[in-house]
Amino acid sequence: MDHLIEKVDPGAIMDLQRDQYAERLLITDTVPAGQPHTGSVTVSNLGGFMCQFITGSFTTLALNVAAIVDTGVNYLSGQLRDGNGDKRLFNARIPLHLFLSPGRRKDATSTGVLTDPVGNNLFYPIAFEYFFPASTQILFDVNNVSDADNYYELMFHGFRVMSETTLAGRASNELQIV
Amino acid sequence: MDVMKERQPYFIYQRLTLAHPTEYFLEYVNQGFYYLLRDIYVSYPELDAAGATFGPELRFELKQKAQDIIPQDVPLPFRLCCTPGNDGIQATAANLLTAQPPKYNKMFNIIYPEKDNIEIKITGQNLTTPTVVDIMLNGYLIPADG
Repeated sequence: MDHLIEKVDPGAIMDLQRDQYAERLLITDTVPAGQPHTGSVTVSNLGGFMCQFITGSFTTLALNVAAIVDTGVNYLSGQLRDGNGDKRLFNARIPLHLFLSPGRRKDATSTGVLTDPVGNNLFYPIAFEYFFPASTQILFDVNNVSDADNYYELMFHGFRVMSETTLAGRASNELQIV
Repeated sequence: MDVMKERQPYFIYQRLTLAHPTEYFLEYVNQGFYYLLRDIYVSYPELDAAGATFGPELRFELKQKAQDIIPQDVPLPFRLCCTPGNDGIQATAANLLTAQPPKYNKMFNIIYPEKDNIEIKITGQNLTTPTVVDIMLNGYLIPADG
């Protein structure tokens, strides 16, 4: 905890935050029963996004005699791609429970929502160090083998690296304000 | 981001059907790349849908196939190195597994040279159960001239 024993330099911190700052990107999507669906999030044109970790959760719903129940079984598998050049970051669709923490979550559409086990707590963010360029789309192609719709959230933890263009634009704005 | 120019994360997944006491996971590393293996994530059923216990002790042996390098002295139990493992998992009739999340993994930090292949020898299946094992490798592709 260096900041407790060393003097904080607000100017240096502000300079650094002007160039890069912590950010999170989120993909949320509902995957229809028995079908694949691609969720996406766009990295804006402010600059690239340096991802460090991913976390995620998903529902485990299925039909039981026309009633939606939470079975606790994983039905979703997904493949992550960088839209810039359609670069595949997984070799195939991977079951979500193999790499996402906290993993299973409760869902209010389950008929047993009052008695379903509580969802998992965040425990183990997976290291995923990758630089997504500015303006690219992060694509997550997910297949659902359940006979009910399932929902997931996938979060990318990292920091934004502002582009030279953005920084130049901000500098010119500051001059105009002055 | 110079540090990222020379690598990208690449997750490799295979579902293996366990029909014999010894089975093999085999993955070809893309030509022109090294693969830096960081973690292994494994999921397999310990109970069937009726609640009968399989009690498997699946073990694995990593190997650089072409160079015949095995960076371990004995086959290691998955349960000592990899999650979600067998934790509370049941197989359904369709071999779906309950959604236990990863909790901790031992870092492997092994480089597979270009054109070599990743082989994982899996032992411990008792001719009946378990019938499947899901294996995911968390690692990075690194250009061979990088």
